[in-house]
Amino acid sequence: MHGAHNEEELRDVERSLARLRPAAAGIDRDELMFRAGQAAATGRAGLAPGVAVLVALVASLAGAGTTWLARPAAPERIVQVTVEKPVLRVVELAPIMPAGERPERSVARADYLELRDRVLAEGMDALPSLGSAGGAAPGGTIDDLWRDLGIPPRHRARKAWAPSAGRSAQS
Amino acid sequence: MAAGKSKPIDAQLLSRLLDEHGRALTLFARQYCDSPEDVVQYAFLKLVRSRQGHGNMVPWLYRVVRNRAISVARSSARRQRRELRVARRDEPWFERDYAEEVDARAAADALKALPEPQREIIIAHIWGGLTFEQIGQVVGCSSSTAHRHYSDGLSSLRERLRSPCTEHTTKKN
Repeated sequence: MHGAHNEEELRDVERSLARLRPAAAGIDRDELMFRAGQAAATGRAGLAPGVAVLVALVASLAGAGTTWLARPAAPERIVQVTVEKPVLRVVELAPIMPAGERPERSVARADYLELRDRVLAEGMDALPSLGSAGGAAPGGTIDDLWRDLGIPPRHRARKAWAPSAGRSAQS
Repeated sequence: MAAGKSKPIDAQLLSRLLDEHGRALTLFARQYCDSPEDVVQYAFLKLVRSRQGHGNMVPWLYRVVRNRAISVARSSARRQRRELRVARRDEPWFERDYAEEVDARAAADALKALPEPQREIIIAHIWGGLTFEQIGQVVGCSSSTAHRHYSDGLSSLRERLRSPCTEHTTKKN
C-alpha cells in the first residue's frame, strides 16, 4: 500500500518536472549550419586523398599479385652438357697431277697461245709455212690433203677453188 | 523520436534535431560544464562529420555531449573552474513559468543538489526522452541500475520540492 502510494507520488513529481521547459539553448543556428556545411565539405574533400591512396595501394597489390602469379611454375634449372671439341686432322690428299708431268693438251694449248701472240705482234708472217708447220704430210699433194680431210671427189671441184686455185697456180 | 532510423545527415535533419533536442541536450551538458552550447554544437558537428546517420542518433548525441562536457570540465583550470561554478549557478536551467506547480528555480536547485549519477539520469529520461536502456548505454551502466538511480533521485527531489510547496500552500491558506 505504502509502496503504491510512493510510486504515485514519484509519478506526480515526474509529471511536474516534465512540465518544466529547459532554458533556450544559446546555440547560434546560422553559425551551426554554416559550420556543418564546412564540416561536410571538408569531409568530402578529405575523402579524395584517402580514396587515391587506397586505389594506389590496391593497384600495387594487384601488380605484385600478377607478378607473383606469372612467375614460371617450375624452378629454373641449370643443366651442364659437355660437348667434345672438334679435332682438326690433317688429311693427306693424293696429288691431282704428278709433279713435272704436263698433259699433251696443255702443251698444245700453250703452243697455240704462243703462236697467237706472235701473230698479233708480228702479223701473218709469223705463221709458219705449211711444210715447216707439219699440218699435212710433208711433201704431200692436195689430193692427199683432200683425202686426209675425207672430202669426196665430187665436192673437190667446188671446194677446191680457193686454196686449190692458188695451190694449182703455184704448182 | 526524431531520428530513429539511420539516414544521411542533411540540413533539414540537422535543423529538426536541433529543434527537438537542442534544449534538452544543452540542459544535459549544463550540469557538467560552463559552456554547454559549445559542447552541443560540437556534438552536432561531429554527427555531420561522421557523414552517416546513426541508428539511434539521439542517444549517440547524448553520449557525445556527456563525454565532451566532462572533458571540458576536467581540462579547465582549478581557479577558473571555481569561478565558472559560481557563474553556472546563475544560468537558468528552465524557463520560468509561474503557472507551473513546480518553481523552475527551485527545481534547478534541487537537481543541482543531487548526486551526478542521479541527476544525469533524471535529465536524460525526463527531458531527453531516453529509455533506461539507452541511458545505461550513455552513462555506462545497466538499465536496472539506471532505473534505481532514477527512482532514488526522484525521491530526493520530492523531498526537496515538498517543503517550498507546502510552505506556499500554507501561506496561500
